[in-house]
Amino acid sequence: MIRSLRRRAMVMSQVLLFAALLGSFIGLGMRKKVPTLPRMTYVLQVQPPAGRQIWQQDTGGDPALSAAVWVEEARLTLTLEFAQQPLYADALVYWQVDGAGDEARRLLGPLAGGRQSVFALPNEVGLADGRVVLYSLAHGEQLTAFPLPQQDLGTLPAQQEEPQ
Amino acid sequence: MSLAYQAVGWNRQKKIYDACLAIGVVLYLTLFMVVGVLWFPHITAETLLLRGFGSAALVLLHFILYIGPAARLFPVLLPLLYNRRHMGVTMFFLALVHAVLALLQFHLGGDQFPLVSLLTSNGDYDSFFQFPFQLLGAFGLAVLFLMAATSHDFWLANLTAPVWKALHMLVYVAYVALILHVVLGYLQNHQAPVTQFLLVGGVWLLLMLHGLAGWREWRKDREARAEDGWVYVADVAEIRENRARIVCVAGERIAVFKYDGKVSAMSNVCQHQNGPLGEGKIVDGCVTCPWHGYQYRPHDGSSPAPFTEKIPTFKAKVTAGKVYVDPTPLPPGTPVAPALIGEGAEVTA
Repeated sequence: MIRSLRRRAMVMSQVLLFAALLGSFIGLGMRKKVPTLPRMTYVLQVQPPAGRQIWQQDTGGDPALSAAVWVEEARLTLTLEFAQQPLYADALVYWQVDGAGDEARRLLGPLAGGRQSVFALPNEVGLADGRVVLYSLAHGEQLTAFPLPQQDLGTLPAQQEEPQ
Repeated sequence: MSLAYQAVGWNRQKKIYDACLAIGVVLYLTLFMVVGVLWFPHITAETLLLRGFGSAALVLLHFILYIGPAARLFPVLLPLLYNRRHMGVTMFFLALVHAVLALLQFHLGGDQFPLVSLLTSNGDYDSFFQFPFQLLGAFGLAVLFLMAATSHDFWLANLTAPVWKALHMLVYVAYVALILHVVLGYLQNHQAPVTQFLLVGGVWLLLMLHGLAGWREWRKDREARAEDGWVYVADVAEIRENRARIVCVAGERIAVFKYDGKVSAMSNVCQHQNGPLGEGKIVDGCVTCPWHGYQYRPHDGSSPAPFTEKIPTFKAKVTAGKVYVDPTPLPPGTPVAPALIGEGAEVTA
């Protein structure tokens, strides 16, 4: 009896192990090719900033966030740099005029995968006081916000060239 | 061998075994975390822990499954078999931590109860590549739980050996589910060749070890023929002192031991977990199972007092330096006088 049980166990283990090997080959050999780009490039994001830094602020928070505004040839660029990799779910970045409702927010773009994100700023930032808002789409809540005062940005080329 | 049921029947060997096991697991996890942080500096702690515990459980599962066939091929590895059940329970807990971390990371933040989310978040049951691999892992974990919960002689005795063995053979079903869990989950999005090679190589090695061990067992099972009611076993000189020669008769194996100028025959099957007694040796005057150390007196197949295990015995004789055995089994525990090894004399037990 023991011998027949042992044979049954041997056949069962062989068949199941072969099935595991076969499943591995099929699963690995026919899987979809997934692009493995190190970092996503978003439509609303711009190249790393160049030109002159005209505003900078450490906004604190956890992880600590440092924001800066750059200007080059009438184009304004906002950089956000975290001290550590932020663990925000589906974080979007907005600029919002002070006193305006949430529905008037201007979408700058989603946070990048790394510690630093770069966004093009609309020309309106030189015309009115406003704030930058980080919002989690997944959790439906504001993560953090900091002011972006008009006067701190100085006299902007964009403002000078704005058609009246 | 234990007389009464205890949570763990500790002895020095088991303590050393478990200490080595614990050190091995801690070393693996530490190495995994350090290399993981250095190799993937942006990886989160949750993901690193999740992968560390999952891979540790899978590596240990492979190791556990290697031990059985490897010990049959290389007897020097038999000590690894001695306390394998503790390795199995450890493996289950590593897999459980992995599962809890996965539930916390991927299913806790939603508006459903995590287990409900696990069962309902992916319904592609008709797709091979999109199959909910999480459920394969959950199934494997459930089987491992059943095995870990019954990894005790209490359950072996109360479920009976055939039921207990059948239950624990489910480890191979769980193994297939867990391999597919990894292949259809992690490896669909991570294409590092090293990981793929290790996984496929691990399965292939297991298949080869089982195949070789099975082939060797099949060769052992060649039936010996009886003449005048006796089956030739071997020449006396061919059997090492305190060791046995195994002969297969009428579908069962008989272990014939030589010791102290005598020969005794008994069933090759240990009553504990059906271990191969003929591959053990005589220690302190008792036949000792190579798997877990259960002992039987060679002349009556009974465990020494106060233990109560008994196995069938067989009559043996030595004629002109040749050992023979009567293939008719005697009831378990039946005393049989050992055959004396005399020079040219015929001695019948």
